[in-house]
Amino acid sequence: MRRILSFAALLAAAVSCIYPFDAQLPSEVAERLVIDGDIIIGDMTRIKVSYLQPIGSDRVASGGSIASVSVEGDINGVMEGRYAGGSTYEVDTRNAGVSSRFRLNVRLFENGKEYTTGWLKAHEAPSNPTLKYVVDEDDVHVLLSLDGNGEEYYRFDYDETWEFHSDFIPTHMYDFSPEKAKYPLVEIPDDIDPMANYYCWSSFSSREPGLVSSTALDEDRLSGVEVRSISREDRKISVVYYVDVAVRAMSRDGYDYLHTLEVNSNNAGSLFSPVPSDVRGNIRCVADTNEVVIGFIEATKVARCHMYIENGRVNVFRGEYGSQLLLSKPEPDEDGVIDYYQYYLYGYRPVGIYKINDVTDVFWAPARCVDCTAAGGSKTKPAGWPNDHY
Amino acid sequence: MKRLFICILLLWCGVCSAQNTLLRGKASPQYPFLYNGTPYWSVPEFSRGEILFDGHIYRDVLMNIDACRQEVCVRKEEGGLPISPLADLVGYAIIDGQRFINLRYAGMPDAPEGFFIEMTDGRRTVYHQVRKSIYSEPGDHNGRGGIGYDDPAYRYDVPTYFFQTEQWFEYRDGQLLKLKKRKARRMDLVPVVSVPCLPDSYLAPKQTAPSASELRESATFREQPLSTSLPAGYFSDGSVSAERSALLDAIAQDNMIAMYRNKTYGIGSSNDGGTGPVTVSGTIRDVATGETLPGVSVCDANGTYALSDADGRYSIRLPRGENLLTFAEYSKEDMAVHIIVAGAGGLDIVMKEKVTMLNSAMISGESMAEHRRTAIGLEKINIKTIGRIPSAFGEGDVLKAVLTLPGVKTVGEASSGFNVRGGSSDQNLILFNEGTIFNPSHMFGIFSAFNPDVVEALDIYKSSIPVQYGGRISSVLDIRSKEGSSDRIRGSLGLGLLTSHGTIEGPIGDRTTFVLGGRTTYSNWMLGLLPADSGYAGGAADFNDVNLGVTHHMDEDNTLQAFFYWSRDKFSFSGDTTFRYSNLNAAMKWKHRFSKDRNLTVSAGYDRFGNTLTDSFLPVGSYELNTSVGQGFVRAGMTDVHGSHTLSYGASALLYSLNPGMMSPFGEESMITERALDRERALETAVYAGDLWEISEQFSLDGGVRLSGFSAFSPAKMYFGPEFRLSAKYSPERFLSFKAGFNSMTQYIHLISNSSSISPMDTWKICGEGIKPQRGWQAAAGAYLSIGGGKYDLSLEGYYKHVRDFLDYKSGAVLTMNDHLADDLVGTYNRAYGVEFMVKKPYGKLSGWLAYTYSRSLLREMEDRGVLTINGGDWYAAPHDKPHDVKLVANYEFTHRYSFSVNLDYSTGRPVTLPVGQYMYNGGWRLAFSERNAYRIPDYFRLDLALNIDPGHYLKAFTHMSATIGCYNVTGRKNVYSVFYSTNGGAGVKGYMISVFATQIPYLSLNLKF
Repeated sequence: MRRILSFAALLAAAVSCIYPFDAQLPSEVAERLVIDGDIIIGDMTRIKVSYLQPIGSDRVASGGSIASVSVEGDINGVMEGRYAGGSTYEVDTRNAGVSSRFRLNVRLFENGKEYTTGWLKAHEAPSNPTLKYVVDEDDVHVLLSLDGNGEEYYRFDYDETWEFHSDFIPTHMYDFSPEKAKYPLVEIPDDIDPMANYYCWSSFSSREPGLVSSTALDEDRLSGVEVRSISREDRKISVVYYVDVAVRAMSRDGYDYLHTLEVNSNNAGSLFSPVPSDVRGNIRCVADTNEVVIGFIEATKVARCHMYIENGRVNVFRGEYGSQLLLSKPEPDEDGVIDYYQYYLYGYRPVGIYKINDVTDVFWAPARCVDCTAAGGSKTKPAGWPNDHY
Repeated sequence: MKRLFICILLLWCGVCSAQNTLLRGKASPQYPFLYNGTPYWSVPEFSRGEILFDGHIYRDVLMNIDACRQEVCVRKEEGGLPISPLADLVGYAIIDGQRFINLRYAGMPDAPEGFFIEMTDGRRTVYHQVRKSIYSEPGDHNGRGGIGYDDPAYRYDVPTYFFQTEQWFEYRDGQLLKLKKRKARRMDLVPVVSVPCLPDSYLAPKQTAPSASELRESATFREQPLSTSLPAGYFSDGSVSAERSALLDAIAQDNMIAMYRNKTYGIGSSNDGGTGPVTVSGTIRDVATGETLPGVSVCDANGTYALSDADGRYSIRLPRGENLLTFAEYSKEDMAVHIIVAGAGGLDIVMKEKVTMLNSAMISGESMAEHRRTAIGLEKINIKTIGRIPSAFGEGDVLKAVLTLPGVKTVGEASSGFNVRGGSSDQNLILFNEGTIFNPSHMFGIFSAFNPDVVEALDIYKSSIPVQYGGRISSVLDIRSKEGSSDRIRGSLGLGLLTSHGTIEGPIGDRTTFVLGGRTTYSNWMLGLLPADSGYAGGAADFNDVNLGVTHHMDEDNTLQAFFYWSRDKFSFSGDTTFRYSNLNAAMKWKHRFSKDRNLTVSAGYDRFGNTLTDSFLPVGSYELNTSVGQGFVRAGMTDVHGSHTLSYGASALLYSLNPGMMSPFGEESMITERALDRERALETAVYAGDLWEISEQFSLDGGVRLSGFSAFSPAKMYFGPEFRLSAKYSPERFLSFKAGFNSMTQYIHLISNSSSISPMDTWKICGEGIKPQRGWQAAAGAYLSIGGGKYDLSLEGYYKHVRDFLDYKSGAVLTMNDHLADDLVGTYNRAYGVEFMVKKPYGKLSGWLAYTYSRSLLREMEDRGVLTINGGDWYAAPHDKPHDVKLVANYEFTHRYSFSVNLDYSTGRPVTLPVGQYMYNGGWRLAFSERNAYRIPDYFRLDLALNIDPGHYLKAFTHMSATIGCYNVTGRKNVYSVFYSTNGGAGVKGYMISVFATQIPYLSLNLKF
């Protein structure tokens, strides 16, 4: 009976499905300028200027510098930007203060069109941003708290870096030299450090700003805002995890703009999702105010906070290392040759060879399990990292 | 002694019924199809005999007894169809020496209807009756118990046969007592074969007054000689003779109840001296349950037509004299009643459930209704049809049935609400009894909010909206629950894969009935059985609803009804976000009849819809968001018939109270501040007057004016809305009619939504500062033709509708907890037009309809906001704009127990807004969208099949079980509900589609009635 009922429930639940879909959208799109970034008070301002691209494009087209970018302050005057590669332009706004008003000006080289934001009020950074983490059964939650300065609308972005290691420290390696062609598996010589590719570092920057508002709260103070939620089985927290969060205040219009982008881009499609809609930012073409320009620019000061989570101290990691080990029992062919190369071709690397009672066992593992760089890691250790791993 | 007594009774009744010029017989109904057995008492051949009819004895007449209808059939010497003399006036018939007595005629009013053979064992007098019923069921029924015959010529390829039952009664101590068949068989009975009592005995004075014929004058008979042949003109039509006036006056009573076909009922008094047409009115009820029957077409021999109203009342203008009044409703057996109209009067009718179609050429009541009524765009569905339409998970679904009609659409399968002729889903006034239903669905559209066991029938007005209705632009869906059974406690229970529903109904005392229904789902705890990795284990979905209806007939002219409806839904995908919403309706209704031509209906009640969103994703930000709309109402309406005019006039008042949003902290850790938007209150009032003027049989006009006013309290704001209704019908032929109509409407309440269908968090908003009422008008015209003698109904309707101040939302609008919601909304024009074509076969083995609709519904922002104007100020497709639409609903009855249903639905895909480009922003990919609704999702197609097994015709069985086995979406087509593109957190753009029912859904539904 239970099985029948389960089947019935599954039937009901499983009938609603999501499938990939190709809507045959147009391959060409209207030329629409995209201006991305904020005027950062007291730091370098980075503005990206690009164009709308067809659906399916996997990279931003970069034709070099296409515009001149400047930030104008009612106190500081015009601060010219410089092309910083890709689609990025940098403006030195380190000397700007929040008491000023600013506006962004962009002029395209191609047609001389000028775009501006109009004067923007500078937003003060929130005070005392702090991070903490809490651990529950499944996840580690990184939480942000801050004291607002009456701005009420905030965004946060994070950069995270983590140290991890490979699954195994190999004792053997594959030797391609001709003299080892018959038996290419050799013990790692003393002049090679088997730990060389054991520890790695990796990083990620948030692609979408977190948005939070205190308008519904008693006071302009946020506590326990989740920045990240990391599974306790994620190797990000297996050794040392570092997160740096940048928090900035913003206008209600800017908040709504980013919120709509988020809804349009990620939350569309459920049974009750709002119908997606295009929203207008605060950048106007000076010559044609009807021209659609994508982007919403704020002038704001950024506050930062960071935190380490060292697993060696707090023991939050519950994942496993070394689970993908393959055992082979070499069987030579008629010529007495053992074809180890096929393992190599399939992406396996030797971990070690063990001989017990004249029976030789070779243990293999995927490359990423013996070489952390093959797992996407970098051997560049961030400055100030709190251990002596290399 | 007993025989003498019977003779005395016969004589006395015969005295009372004497009038040799009385009613002419009508042709006996025929049994035109093949069958086994005979409908007659024993043999199908006619034999000569003697009959006492209306005080006259006719001899040497060819006769037989129809044991199905319990009538005497007589045949002319020269042949032709048999005639059925009115059984009320037949005292006895002697055929082949066997005497068949009408015991009622003989003064036993409690005796069963029909004819009996008198038998005796020398000590006791016993009456024997053979009754037959027609059945259709494959198999060998020849010679089996109860069949009553063993025919060597039995045709096994013919499923239809006559089933015979016998009744035995003993006359003892002045009473007619039922006798067991076995006991009667053991008695040594012989038929009483004797010459009937002599005329002198007939003239014995009346002893008691047990029958209706007591009002007849005995002297009349004395003056009549015995006849030896049928009277002149017996087989031909005639008119009322003046000499019968006194008799007609005498038999006229207030609202007699006509229960028997082909009998004569006298109506009214001729004392008014008038000669023109008079009004005959009454109430039509189900014979089994006593429930009133709305939508029954009433038609006389000349084609004069009327339709019973929601309370089962009808009123029809008829010429004085003899007439044949036919009552037709296609779930009931047609009822033909011979009447003699002397003056205005009443006649209540009872109809019984249709068991079989006796006459394949019969015109359906609904066909006639379409040709006779003036309203255009009115569709009616009864619960039997609803139950035959396959639906997901097998439960008869009221709203899904509505969606099979032309001009009614939905944006998707799991969508609450529906769209009528290009209107939005909030432009439909959904009335359940007297209450307004704001959200008509459970589980966000998978099930409708109405318990199919409770619903009796529904009407949907797509164009000509009666003047008594107002407050919505597009349509009125009037759903009526049935009255409780008045004879005994009855009930039903339905079991499905995900839901169960049940009702119980019956009488409370002599004058009060009740019906109580409930429904629930067990999907919630079933979801809990799912394994944790199924992805649904954390979800929950359940609903309940309860209906209660109580009807109290205070007296002949006053009826009091009370209705209660409550529903609750709870739904959550995960443990931290929960949606809840509920409907509540409570209403009282008083119906008063001042006279046969004047009725008053007064109702009052309260409706409420509320929803709650609980979000506990973040402990510090956990909140509960509540919104609600409530309305108290009072309505009073009069119906007044003056000759060819039927006047409707009345007034209504609605007091709104809305909570547009209240956010409160949820949980101890929550730092959310309690915040509430200002409650909105307003009063909506209306007065109306309308007149249905039946100028002639061919031409009628229906017009009216409704003056509505709306007053918001804070801030104070007033609006007025004169509304006009006009429709006309021209019917040059009996089966051909043309109609046209115009109506204007005003709507003071809006559903604020930015999703494609009604979502749990959509909020209602009444007009006020910055929010104007929606105003619209619709013009429509149609042609209606019945062919094949009424077997097929064809209709073609076209319409054009224009609405202004329909609210759409600005790009990026925030619709919840927005103090300045009006700033995020824009007024739009909505224009809709279309053509609807439908072929309908209302009855027969194969029944159903095929409909095609071409329609468009377009929006345009009213205000020019420059670059911000939606789609640059151009017309754009409404979310429910689906130009092509084909619907097929068919039911084929193999036998009376087994039928097969098909439902096919095709439509153009609905409009969607899709991304046309992508760009890198804040480090991730973002989407740029097309103009609003510039693209369409793929077309929709779905085929559903169902096998319906109805209970057997064991009328004495305590329970009746029926079952439906079906499959929803037989082809397994992955119909697209929604298309969306996601940037997957900025990583890359991919397109997806949601299909709500992406596979075949087999189902089994069991229903038990008792």
